[in-house]
Amino acid sequence: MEHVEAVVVGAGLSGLSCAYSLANRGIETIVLERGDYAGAKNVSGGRIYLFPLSEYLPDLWREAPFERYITRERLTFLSQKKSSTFEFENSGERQSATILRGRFDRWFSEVVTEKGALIVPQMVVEDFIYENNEICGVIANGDEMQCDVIVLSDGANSLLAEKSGLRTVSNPQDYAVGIKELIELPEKVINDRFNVREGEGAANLFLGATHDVEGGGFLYTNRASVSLGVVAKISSLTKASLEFHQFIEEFRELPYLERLLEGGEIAEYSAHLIPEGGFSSMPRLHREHLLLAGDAAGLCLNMGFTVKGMDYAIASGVLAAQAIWKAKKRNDFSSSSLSQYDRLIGDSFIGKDMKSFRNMPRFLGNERMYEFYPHFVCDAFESIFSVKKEKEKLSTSLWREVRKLVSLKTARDAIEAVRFL
Amino acid sequence: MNISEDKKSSAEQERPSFLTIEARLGVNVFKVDKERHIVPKEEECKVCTARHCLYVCPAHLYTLDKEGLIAFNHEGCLECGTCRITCLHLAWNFPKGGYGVQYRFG
Repeated sequence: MEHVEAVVVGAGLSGLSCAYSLANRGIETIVLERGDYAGAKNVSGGRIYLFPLSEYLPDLWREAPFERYITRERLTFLSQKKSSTFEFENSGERQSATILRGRFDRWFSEVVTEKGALIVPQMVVEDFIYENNEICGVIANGDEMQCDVIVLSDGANSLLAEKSGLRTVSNPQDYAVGIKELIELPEKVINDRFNVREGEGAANLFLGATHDVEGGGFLYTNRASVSLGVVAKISSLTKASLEFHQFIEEFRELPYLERLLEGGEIAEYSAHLIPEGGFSSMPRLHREHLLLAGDAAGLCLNMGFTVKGMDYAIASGVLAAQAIWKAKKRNDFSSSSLSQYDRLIGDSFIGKDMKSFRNMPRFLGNERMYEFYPHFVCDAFESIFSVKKEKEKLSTSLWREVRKLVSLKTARDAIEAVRFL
Repeated sequence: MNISEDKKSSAEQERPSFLTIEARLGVNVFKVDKERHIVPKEEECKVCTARHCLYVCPAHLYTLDKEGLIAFNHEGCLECGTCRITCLHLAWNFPKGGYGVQYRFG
């Protein structure tokens, strides 16, 4: 039977970061990827936060094929054909970038291969092999492969994490699903329509685009395309009266978006699961000879206006490699030896974020955020700007809107917002 | 946009930017396996009253047939796993290595 030191399942950001760090330390590493190439099964909304990565493989990201650096942030409240947009510009600092995983992960896999890890595509890992009830390898495409350690970086639907007993069968409450259209537009047209320079981009988030379903819309500018998407909590979606695939079409036809997207050609339609149960649904991340990383470990966080996951994936991959390196020096891949990984995650920015935002899922579960408040914002602006016959006093029209807002429920929302945010 | 015009209903023709789900899936690269990687348990589907699968699937692969039973077509599956999270009565697996959707942009 074949034996390697480390098997990494899945060539996404966590798997590739882990393989890179392992190969860099001279550990013999095989990455098993079920797609035709790294990235073939990978989807992201499209924005990665760069600051947290300054401590994790920092040299690598200088050459990385990011699409555009986000300098313009927009938040749009929608109410049928009406919209109100808030805008923030920061050209000075490169905090986040847009990314297309097809391109990015293929580049990353080449870098990892150069480091000395072997990436094998078209391989599905079906199960583990055991010796004396301890995991000692994997079965991939029917063949057995022995190893010292396995890193499960096989994404949000990690069936293997469930098989390993580290994760339980999933709860719709802990997941959102995103759908995305990749729409091609010329680079120059994007620069003009979004008022950005070459290499700079805009990120636009939308509330009120999902009826009263818990979720929102997004529009990110890539170099010569835009990523348009809708994200919805699955448990909330099951109560919807519209089929989910129709949400994005309804969204795209809004006047605000129609003009931004005019003439664009759709080049891809994708969907992806987002684990967003937060801290309370985080599993234990290790057992003997096994570690979980990235989405497979549930390392994703919805902070309301920012959704993070790709930076956690990269960092967890690097930390998994650190834990493996130390376990190798002790020649001990037992559960207690690998338990150091959970501590590394807990002490890193991942653990700190997860703890700070532990109440976020409950806060975001408030359905008034998705219809009532976005409509209120639009109605309030309409009453300020519209002129019908006689213009009433501004205070009168505003007061009418504000009266709609004030209730016991909204007062409680305000208190919760102050507490959580 | 690259979509066969004859597939659009008259209501949709008045919405020039509207894309049917078939048109959206049509731009993707799929390597379709003959074997289904997701198999609904028919006996459970017959007695299921929730039928969330009809609404949540981003590719709209769960539909009602003429007899009012759930029909599932695995071609066009985006492999997101939403049905796996929503429904406990599926034998859910990934397609075999090298099969299924191959995202070019992601």
